[in-house]
Amino acid sequence: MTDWLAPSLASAVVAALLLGVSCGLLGTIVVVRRMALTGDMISHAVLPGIVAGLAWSETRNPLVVLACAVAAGVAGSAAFAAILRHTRLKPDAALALVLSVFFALGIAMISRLQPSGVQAFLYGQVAAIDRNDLKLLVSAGLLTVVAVPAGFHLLRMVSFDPMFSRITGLPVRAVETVFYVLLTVTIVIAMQAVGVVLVTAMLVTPAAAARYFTRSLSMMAALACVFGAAGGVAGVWISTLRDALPTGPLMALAVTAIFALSALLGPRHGWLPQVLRRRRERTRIRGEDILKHLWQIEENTGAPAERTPEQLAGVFGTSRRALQRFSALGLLDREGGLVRLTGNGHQRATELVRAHRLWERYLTERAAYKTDHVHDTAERLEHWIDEPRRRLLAEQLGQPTEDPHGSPIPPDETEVAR
Amino acid sequence: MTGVWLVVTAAFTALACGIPGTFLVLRRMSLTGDAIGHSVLPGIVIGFLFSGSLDSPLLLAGAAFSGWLAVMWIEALCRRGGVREDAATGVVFTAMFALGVVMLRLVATRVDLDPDCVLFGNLETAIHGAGMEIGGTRVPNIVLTTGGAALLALVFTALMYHRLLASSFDATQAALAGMSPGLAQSLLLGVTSAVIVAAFQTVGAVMSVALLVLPAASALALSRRLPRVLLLVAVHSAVSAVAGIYLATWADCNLGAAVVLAGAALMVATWAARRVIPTL
Amino acid sequence: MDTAALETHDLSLSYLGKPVLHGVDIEVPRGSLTGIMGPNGAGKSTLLKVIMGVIPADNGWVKILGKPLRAVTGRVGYVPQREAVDWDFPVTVADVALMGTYANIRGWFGRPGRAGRKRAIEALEQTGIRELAHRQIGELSGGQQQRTFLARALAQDAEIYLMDEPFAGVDAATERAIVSLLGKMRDAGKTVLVVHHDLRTAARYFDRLLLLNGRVVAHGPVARVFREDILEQTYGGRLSLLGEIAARAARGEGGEQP
Repeated sequence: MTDWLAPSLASAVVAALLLGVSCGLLGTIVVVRRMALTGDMISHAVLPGIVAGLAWSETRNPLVVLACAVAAGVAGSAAFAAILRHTRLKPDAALALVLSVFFALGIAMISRLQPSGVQAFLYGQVAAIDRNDLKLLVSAGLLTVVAVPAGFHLLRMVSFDPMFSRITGLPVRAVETVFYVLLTVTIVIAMQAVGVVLVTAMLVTPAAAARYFTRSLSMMAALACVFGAAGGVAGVWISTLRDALPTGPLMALAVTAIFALSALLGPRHGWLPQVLRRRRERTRIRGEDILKHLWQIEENTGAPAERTPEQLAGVFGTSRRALQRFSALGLLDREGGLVRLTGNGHQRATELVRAHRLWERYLTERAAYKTDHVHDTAERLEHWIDEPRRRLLAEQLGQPTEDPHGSPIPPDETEVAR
Repeated sequence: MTGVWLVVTAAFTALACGIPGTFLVLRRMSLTGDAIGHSVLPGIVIGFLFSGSLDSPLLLAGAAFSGWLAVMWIEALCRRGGVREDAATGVVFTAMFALGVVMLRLVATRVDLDPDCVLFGNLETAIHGAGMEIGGTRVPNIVLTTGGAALLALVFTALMYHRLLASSFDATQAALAGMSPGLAQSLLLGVTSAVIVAAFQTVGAVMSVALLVLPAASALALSRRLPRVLLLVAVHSAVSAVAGIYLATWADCNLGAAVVLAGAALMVATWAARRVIPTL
Repeated sequence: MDTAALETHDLSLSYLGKPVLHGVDIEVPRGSLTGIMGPNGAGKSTLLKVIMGVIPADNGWVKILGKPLRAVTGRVGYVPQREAVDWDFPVTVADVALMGTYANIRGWFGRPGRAGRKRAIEALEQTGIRELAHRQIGELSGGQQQRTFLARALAQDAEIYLMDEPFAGVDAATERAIVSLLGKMRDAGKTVLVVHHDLRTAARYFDRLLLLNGRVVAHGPVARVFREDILEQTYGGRLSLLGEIAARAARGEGGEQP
């Protein structure tokens, strides 16, 4: 446990925290603007610049390296634009080309110049982040944390509607340039922690995970920061458990794990909530079908219907959950092993039958359906027709008394009561 | 002799990647190729654990599966998980690459696989490595592997040409005509994974996408008919291999990177030529 | 011979909780020429895509010549919207026309035969672009591009044709040529469904109209359907009760509240 207090580890943790926050913030914009792979391009394109900076500056001055890296990043962006303008190639091919060719240039330079300190950029070495790097990290992190929320509205406008922004005179070009430079700087710094390939993980994955929880841009950014920081610190911690475990990939795997959990459990589009919601719907629909079934038996035989759960299962398939729920709701009565409609259940069933038969009338009269085609649609949609709509339907059709097959349409019980 | 093997291997690799890569470019799937390049790593490590050699067909198949799996996951995230395509690609390929690197470090003591070769390739070592006696000459295994990959790419394209063409140009029409575009796509991705694995020793994981895309990117400058484009792709592969090895020797730098840079120079030259000579 | 060329039942499709098509229930007789009309976003192109199986419907079914789509490969032809085509693709006019004959390729490794090539050339002549055969498709004018895809359709010799806005952005001569071609196809017993955007010409070009606004507003012979009240319902912009209910169902059935 005392390892935690070791200075190198402490600075690694701080670095991971700051990185997580910066990448989370910028990553939100990146993901929202569908720039994930542009970020990937930048992280590969800066490599030649980094190598040049390292070779040039004997003291490994981080500012020199950063400046060269940003220059390379800008060159990459210019190359991308040039490919789009002067060739018939599509954007995805242009991205892939800039990404891989600039990277190859970097590799060639490394093999030739063998500058010291390049290992950290290639593979990431959080533990090797020293005082100077940390200062740079803090400055860049602060800048991001200040600039992005301040420019948030601007960024949001420009992200969603660049055309409109331009027309209303917003400095689109300036905003985009600042964003691009800030992104490049953050990427270069993040590279020292996770290595060149995995920067995209710190940028994209936390923000993508945050999407499963909210639609609001600010909430998403906040969550992305939390996820990024948590994943970063977790990665650092895991790497201390065993010798020679690389921090970079572990940080990436940690944020991926957070993403996986979000994808499974997140309220928006998460797998489990969707499964549960669909199951609830099916239960409700199954229960309502049972109500209708019992009602129709009563209509045909003249006496209140009683069925065993097995008989119902024979018609509708397994109905245990539906029966439980609907008796808990007071719509079904389950005494003596037989299922019956309660008073409330009977009323609800009447509403459903009314909806179904009105709907069949509507489909044949107003929607050009053939009589033999209406039942399935009505069967499906009857569960969504509430009282105001039933009334509207009846009005539009002139208060009909029979459905297309000749069965009587039950009157609105509340109307009758009046 | 080493020089010859270097050029031959580089040429085989470029050809193996460039041919299926052409269809990836036409289908706007260049970045999928990039994702596959990064995602084969876990498969390679596992395959290496079992077979002990980077040239084993078992490793090839297993690693190719790893790449194909990544594409399936990306698609699942897009379709079912509500994630946009670019973000899904980013999430999946980084996760798989990270997994591969961690696995590689964990087994580093047990297997003789240099972690650097992921980013740098391993061509020189491979040429001097294990080989087979064929007709009196010692042929390095890597020549046979990349040669096999090139053959696979060529045979695949020749046999499936019309299906690939139809599904790349208009998948809807291809489906209506019963040409199974879905299957064609899966096979294309499988072959892409296989050639990327074969290219692993030449250029490493990250630069393999350059070999997929560069030949087609150049060829499309000079021709607007697919058969001719494919021919030009083959020419580009050969020329960039030769030029690359020369460049590497002259500049004393990494071989794989030199081949990529030579290919890039060729691409710029072809498009520049086209502007100067518009009748091309 | 009584089987309808195309029959759909309660086709519904929603995207992100908003219904695009709801309860589309139609029967298209053989040998007819039908125009599909409706406002923007009415789901016209989507309907074609659902019929062709490109997009799966949320519920309902489609029968083509009485069978599901996979049982009638090669018998449905398709002319796409011009925007949907990659005009930089390295293929020539002849290549595209030839692709129409691919449905007849037998086996996994087959290639188009002489008969196929002959049909492709004939199709190019019928559409009047034979002399452009070796041009790359990006070098053509709008009208020529449209004719290329029509040639592909003709070369296929399908029984049913689905066309997505074939008249968009073509010159007058091409427009006349297409109208005449459609008439010949209908006379030869083919069934043609055309997504069309121009109300002024709709009544003249087609025998039948399908007026679509997410749901089927009306469907039948032009004389019966091309009426002011029906057009008002189609283009009027009010969400029908059917649309509203379908929207609720879509949001509940796994859709997402916008």
